[in-house]
Amino acid sequence: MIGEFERTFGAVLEKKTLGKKKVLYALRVRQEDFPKMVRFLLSMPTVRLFTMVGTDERPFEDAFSVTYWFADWREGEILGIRLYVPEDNPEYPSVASFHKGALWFEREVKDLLGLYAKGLPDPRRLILSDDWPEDEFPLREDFEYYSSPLSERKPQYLPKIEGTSVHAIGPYHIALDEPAHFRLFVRGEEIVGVDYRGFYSHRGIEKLARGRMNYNQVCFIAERVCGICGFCHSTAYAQAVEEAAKIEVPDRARYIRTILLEVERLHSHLLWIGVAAHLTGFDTAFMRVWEVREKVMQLAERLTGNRKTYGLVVVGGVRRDLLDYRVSMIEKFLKEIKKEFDRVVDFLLSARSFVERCRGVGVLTKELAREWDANGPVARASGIDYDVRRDFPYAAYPELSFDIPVYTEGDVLARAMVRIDEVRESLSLIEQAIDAMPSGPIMAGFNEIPGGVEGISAVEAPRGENVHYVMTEDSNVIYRWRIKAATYNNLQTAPDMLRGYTIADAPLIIASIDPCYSCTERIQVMDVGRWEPCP
Amino acid sequence: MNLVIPLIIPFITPILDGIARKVRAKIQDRIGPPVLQTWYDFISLFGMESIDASGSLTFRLAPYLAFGSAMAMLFLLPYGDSSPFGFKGDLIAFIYFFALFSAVVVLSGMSVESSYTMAGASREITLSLVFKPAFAVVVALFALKSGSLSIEEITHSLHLAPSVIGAYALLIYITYVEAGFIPYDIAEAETEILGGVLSEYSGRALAVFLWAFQIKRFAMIWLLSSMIVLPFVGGVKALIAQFLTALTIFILMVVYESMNARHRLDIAVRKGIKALAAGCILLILAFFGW
Repeated sequence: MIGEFERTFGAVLEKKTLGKKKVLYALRVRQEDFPKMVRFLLSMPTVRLFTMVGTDERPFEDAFSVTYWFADWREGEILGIRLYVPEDNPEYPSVASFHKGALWFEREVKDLLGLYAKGLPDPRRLILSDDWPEDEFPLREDFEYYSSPLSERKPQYLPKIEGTSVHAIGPYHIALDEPAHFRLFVRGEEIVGVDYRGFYSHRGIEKLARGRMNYNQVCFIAERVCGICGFCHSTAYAQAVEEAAKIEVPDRARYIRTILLEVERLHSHLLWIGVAAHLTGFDTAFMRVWEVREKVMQLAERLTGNRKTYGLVVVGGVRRDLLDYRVSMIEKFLKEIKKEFDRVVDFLLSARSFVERCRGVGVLTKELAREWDANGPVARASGIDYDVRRDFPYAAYPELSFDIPVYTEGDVLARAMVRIDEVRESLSLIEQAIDAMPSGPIMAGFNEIPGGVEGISAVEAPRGENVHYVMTEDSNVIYRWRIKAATYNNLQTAPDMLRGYTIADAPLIIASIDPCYSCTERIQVMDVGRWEPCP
Repeated sequence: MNLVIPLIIPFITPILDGIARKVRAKIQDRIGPPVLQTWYDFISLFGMESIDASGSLTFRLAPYLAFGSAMAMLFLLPYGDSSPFGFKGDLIAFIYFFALFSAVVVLSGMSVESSYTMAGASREITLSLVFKPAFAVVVALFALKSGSLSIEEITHSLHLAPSVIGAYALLIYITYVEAGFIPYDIAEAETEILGGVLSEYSGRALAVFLWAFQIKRFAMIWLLSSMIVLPFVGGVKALIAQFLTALTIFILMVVYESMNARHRLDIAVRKGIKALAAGCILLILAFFGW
């Protein structure tokens, strides 16, 4: 990807190399060429829009910047194109006008930084609440973290489709235990259109990390972005900083990270399988699967001291070592989990009524999955063979062998099967990692992290790719930190998955992407007593 | 004596529900709530104000009408040797109250402007359209074979024939469906439409409605157990046998329920149509003396 791109457009660009196979180009002149470049990149079959970062670079560039990051998952290359957007004319050409996957990125930048994408198909508010004033942009440097301006409440729902009634799922719904508001336009029981409003739990965690915390504290707040794939977030963040500061992580730390990443995947997938069973009224399978999940949490507790939110990752390695005498205990746990999991999956799939509910429901075609940049199990169930662990290797994955299950049906059952297969792969990965675990230090030694360097890194979370981008500042703080969770892309496919099915299928279809609203919206935990962010 | 039994049964049904919870918990490797939990729930609900979500009389009356129809179903059933209010043609009355129950559920759902209750009501109608006729066909077969329209007489004058055995099988299936067990709790699907028609009810009205559902479930199972027991057992023993059979059927149904996921409406309807077709074929067989 990088070679071809440079041959075609290299002349107008300023190049900066971030790492092996990671390049950033700045486009300072001829912004009108930008859509052409993006079209060129996305026309390659294995290139996807990875993330997009808007930054207030006024203190040193005298302009805002938006950076589109692309990833070629066959070559393992990452390429960024940066546009500078002046304050007096905050406009740039839209990518969403021809590539759906960019829609939320551009809406987000509009909300948080006040930069407008010319030609944005859906310019409604995405992140900020309905009563936030029009001219306040919280991610700008001159906006105070603690100010919370108010204005009149103006909800921007899509107009109702003629001849339908609105069936609301959320903001709080029994089948959706997180705040998300789906407005289903239904004719009888059939869904003909969908409107989504989310980001009720956006709390500006990226703003919080800006200048208020040092780079190591951010690891812990990153872990609290999500209650389920938190470790993936802290790992992705730490990897981004390590890449920016050129820190080499010791082997043992890489293996420890791998083990815990896979323990987390086990937990997440088991949780999801249980929830899927519950949503179809199959509570026996739900309870039995969660019994296995309980074992995984016990294992995590014995390894890290915490059932969830392990708090182990720091920049440069991990905080605590896994003790060698634990090895036999882990092996015992794995054996039990494997046995019980096989039994429980047999039981689940032997219930015809459950399989009937999942088969042929919520189909996402490969083309749509590509357009929305779906990732993780959602993409793999639609025939896209992409997994960050193999394609952008990190931690100890390059040294371990594992299969990546890919199904082509694109329905709920395929997504369930991907996760079921991945549980088995995770069990084998943990075993391999324990066998091959090297000895040695668990922390890298390094000096002060330089300012103005950038890093981008991804981790295959249970739900898909978590991409973290970091730009540092002097005195060990972070200037810009951008989190993109897997659900950010996958959730956007939900309306396309829901259309044409019934309201009976809706909770299952929504759940089948394993949505994580807190990841997508980037929350942080508040200490209610003091009403301040918890440290 | 037999007059009192239908009055005692409503107090037993919440305990049966408690037993169902225990059984389900056992299957799911949980401890489960106490057997009296459903009673505790009802008592606390009875102490709570019920909020009138629609302001319409239908909405307020529906739980009591449903309770009334369920009780009427109980009174028409045989207990041991006799049925307290049995008369010639009580089978028709039973079907009437059985249908009235569904009608009340549908009306209560339609009386509130909520997409959840509306969805519940429309699902109830759809299911009724296929399963109620199927039930009627089975009943017609029994009436044809025994030459009577009284539940008690039917149970005493049934003779086993191929069509009657088929009708029994269908009756078991339809009882299961009408008792509202998963996979057929579609009209009240909690995780899809928040309990359907029940979603707007609260407090006392909710308790009465839930109670009515339990009584109706029990009445359906009691009918099935009567059909199984009474042709073979008579006297005082019959009542005990009826109760034990009903309890066994109930527990077996709970066990089957916990092994299944909920059907989608179209799948349930397809199964209902098959049941109806099977019933019609059996009826024709019965007509020709099989």
